[in-house]
Amino acid sequence: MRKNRILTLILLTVLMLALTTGVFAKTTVEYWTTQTEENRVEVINSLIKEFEANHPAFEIELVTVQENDIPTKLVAGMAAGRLPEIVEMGSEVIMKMGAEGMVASDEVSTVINKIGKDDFFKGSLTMLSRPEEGYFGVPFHGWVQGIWYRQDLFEEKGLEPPTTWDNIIKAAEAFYKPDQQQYGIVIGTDKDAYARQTFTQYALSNNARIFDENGNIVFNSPEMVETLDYYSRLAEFTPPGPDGWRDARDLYLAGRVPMMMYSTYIMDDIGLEATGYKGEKGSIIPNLVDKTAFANKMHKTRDAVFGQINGLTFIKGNEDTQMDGAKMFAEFLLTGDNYIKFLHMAPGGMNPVRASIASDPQYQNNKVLEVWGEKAGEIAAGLNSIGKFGYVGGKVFPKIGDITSQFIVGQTIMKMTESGWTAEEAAEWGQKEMEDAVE
Amino acid sequence: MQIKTDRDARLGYWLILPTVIAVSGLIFYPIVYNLWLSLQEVNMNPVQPNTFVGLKHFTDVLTDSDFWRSFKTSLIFTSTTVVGTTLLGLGTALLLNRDFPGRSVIRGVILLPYVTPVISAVFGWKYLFDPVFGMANYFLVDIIHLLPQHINWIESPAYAIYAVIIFNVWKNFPFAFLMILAELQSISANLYEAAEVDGASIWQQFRYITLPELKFVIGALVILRTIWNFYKFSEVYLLSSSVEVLPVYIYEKAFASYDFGQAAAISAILFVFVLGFIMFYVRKVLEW
Repeated sequence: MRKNRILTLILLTVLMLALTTGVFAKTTVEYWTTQTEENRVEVINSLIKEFEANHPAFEIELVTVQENDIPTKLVAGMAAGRLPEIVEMGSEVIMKMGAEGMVASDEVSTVINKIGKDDFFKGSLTMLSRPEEGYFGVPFHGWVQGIWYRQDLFEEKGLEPPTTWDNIIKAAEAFYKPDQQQYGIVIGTDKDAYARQTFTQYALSNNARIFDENGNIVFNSPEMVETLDYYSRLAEFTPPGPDGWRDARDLYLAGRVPMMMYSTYIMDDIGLEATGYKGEKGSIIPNLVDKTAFANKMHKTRDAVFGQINGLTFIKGNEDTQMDGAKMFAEFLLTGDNYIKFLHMAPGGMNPVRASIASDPQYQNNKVLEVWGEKAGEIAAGLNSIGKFGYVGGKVFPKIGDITSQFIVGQTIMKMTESGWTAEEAAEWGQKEMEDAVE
Repeated sequence: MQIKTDRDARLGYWLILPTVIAVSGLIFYPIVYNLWLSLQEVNMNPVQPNTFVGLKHFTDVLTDSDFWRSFKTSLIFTSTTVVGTTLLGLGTALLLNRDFPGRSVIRGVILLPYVTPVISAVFGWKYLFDPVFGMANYFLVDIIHLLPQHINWIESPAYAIYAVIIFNVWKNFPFAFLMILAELQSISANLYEAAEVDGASIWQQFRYITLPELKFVIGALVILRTIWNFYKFSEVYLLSSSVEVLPVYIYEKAFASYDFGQAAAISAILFVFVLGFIMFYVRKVLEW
């Protein structure tokens, strides 16, 4: 009798446990981000914890993806039928996913409208939408690229700011002393995203495009050949061999180059020393903030600004409850304190896309942003006028994703800088590769 | 051949069944699936079907100059690293086979490159060969003035292959060393004593005693290292993306061009090539 009762009790407990876990089973929402640096992951994790505390029904699973690995990861995820619910990525990647019908466009619009469409910078919304199909991503944050240069050294030599092609190459030549390991400039010359990003600004300033308005590839246009030729001549004043973003950053901070192309993410590194950074002695030139200026507009035949808008987007085909969680999480990230906390991960680098946040004193209250003072505001203003290869005359060509995933622009540059091809040969090669890629 | 059906035999079939399942699931299925993929134009969207294209991928690959360039790079990489690791391993083993104080410590230290995780070794080498701050450039250019200017050893397509080869030899010679040393220790000292009595020189002892005794271990090392290095991806790709050996080429075909069918076709071609090499090698060189 007693044995029986114990047995019933055990059975009951087991049953209840099973039931309760069933009721309280959490919905998992997978979130992909390109923020891979350890300290940024920490911030994101603390935001996730806060979100989970407020929304106990959901569990956010964070997956970090290197920027250069995005195409690979997406393809692998697609082939395995296992894509995340919410991703944070650059606008081209999101537009490409949208064009392939992977994005839950209605959900994106819901979130944008809920936060307030008018509060987003217009430029950022355009980069993530197609006139006939609506929004493919919720704008999240953005950066602007340009030439960061040593104002003090430029003044010493009586050089003009590097805002035009002539000024840039003149200055690069003036500072190039390879026997002392001093170089003129760092621009991208490797098979990577950085090379495409730095090259784009030169191309756009000469009105050279990858697509014309009808979507044909025009990489062998005279303007593009001229740009390639100029770029390879400029590359003669760079440090040896193919260079990437890491070379740009390290060599500029160490005072080996007076000019390099980089996004606003460098503001953090340059500003570090002024914020009481106690790092390795001599690793950063003292008072670098005061000596640094930023030329974010480039001019040849027209002004060009280059940058990136990162957006959040939702992938189709996931369960409704997961979608709800993803939407709530997106809203959570873009609201008030959470948004500011997120942007402060890389102060200056990540710029707000919401007007109300940009002018929020709480956002401006950050050591690095204060060190940069008014410059920070000017830099962020560039965000509204970004030009890119995938966007021509108000049209978007998501096919650019096939070209960027194979790093064809970087490879074209390497044909000239490493194999000694002429600009015409390289342009023809690039044209053919690009045509094959978008086939 | 007659298939047995008595009780004992039936028990036997049951007993080997798990092995058969494991082998077919882990080896035959991937091979067959890969061959099947190589005949299809694979659609990235799992909902949409693939299209059958027959041998198109194979003809495309075999007429593609990029493929043959990668093939050549792979041959250069494999042959030099196989010779390099084996010779360096042999030399080190011969030296460390002698008695000297601290021998066991040195033997342990020699193994370090082999047991270090690839990624940490790669970062060490990247700093060593950094174009601006690296020790290698500092020594070769600024100290002994052997070269006129700094070189980007790791990323430049012209030099990267050397960096990758040297790195691979450095990383993998301890394995050859270990195998050869073990074999060396099993050679009887009597043989050398007898040779000495007969007046054989050191070289003759090596040529007529050591080498023949080592023949099989060296033969096995060469074939293993060839297979491993012909398919080597991590050590090459992590150190430098500028060296397009075949595995890297396949990776880019699959994940940058999204051409899974062609990537599978290249894998199939490689498979046949390596299989042919192994069969030839085992019959003619090892005479097994």
